[in-house]
Amino acid sequence: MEVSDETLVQQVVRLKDLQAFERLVQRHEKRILHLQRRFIRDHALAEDLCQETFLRAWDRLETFSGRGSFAAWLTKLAYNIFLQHRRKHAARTSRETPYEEEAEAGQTALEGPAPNADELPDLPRLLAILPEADRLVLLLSYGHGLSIAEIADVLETPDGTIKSQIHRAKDKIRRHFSIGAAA
Amino acid sequence: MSTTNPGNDPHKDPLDALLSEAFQQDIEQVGDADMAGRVMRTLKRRTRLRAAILGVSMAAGLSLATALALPGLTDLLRLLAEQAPVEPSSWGVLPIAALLAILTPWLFSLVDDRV
Repeated sequence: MEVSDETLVQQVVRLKDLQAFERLVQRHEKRILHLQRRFIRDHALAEDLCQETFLRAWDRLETFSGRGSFAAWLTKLAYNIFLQHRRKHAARTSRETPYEEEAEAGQTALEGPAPNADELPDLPRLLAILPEADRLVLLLSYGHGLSIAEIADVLETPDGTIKSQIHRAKDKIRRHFSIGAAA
Repeated sequence: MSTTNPGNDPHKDPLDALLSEAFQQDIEQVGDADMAGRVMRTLKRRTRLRAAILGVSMAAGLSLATALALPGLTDLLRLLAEQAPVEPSSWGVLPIAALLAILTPWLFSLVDDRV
């Protein structure tokens, strides 16, 4: 049986177990790197911020209370590191979101023929019609598997706002691409 | 209010299933950046660097404290052995030396936080 994240965290905190920490990094590296690349176009910089996320996690692991999931705690750390970076380099990073690029590409694609009902649109096309904030909430929900409460905690936004953002975004996608609603 | 993740129940809504699959594929497409290797190498390097800084700063602090305290301690030993004369002025550095010895770990922690 696979050891849970929370058990590995305890091993790291109590024993400063580097191997346990390495397993945590291996489990979450793709997810965190994907998140940073979603925020920042420069891949090398995204990798640096991803590394910084894990180094800070090592330093602050004892502050993980265990109330939420470790994945959500790490996601919040990654998001805060991105925000700090953006504040420091505001002028440079303001136009660095790949979401915007994809949105523009998607928008061009949307100007073509309407999608066939049987043909499911790919992710950039789905996201292209949404504002940045809604895309991020969908990413955290469907890509990172965070609960509404966890997303609210990461983004420091009320639960109700997150819930209505998800509902609104899905509704918009459903209407635009003629995707069937829940049975 | 529900606090669950809609992505955890792909049978409920076809769009949920579509979004979950699309995002998972997108995450899987992230290339192998050997992040674990990079992080572990950095952590080990940082640990060695911290140990070196600790060693050097402790040695420097304690050496300085000893050098400052030595004349005073010598006088004290001579006094205890009743081999006067004693120069009380040399005792003045004793509290400074003691303070330095006490403060050395704190000075190290200041440096350590920046590593």
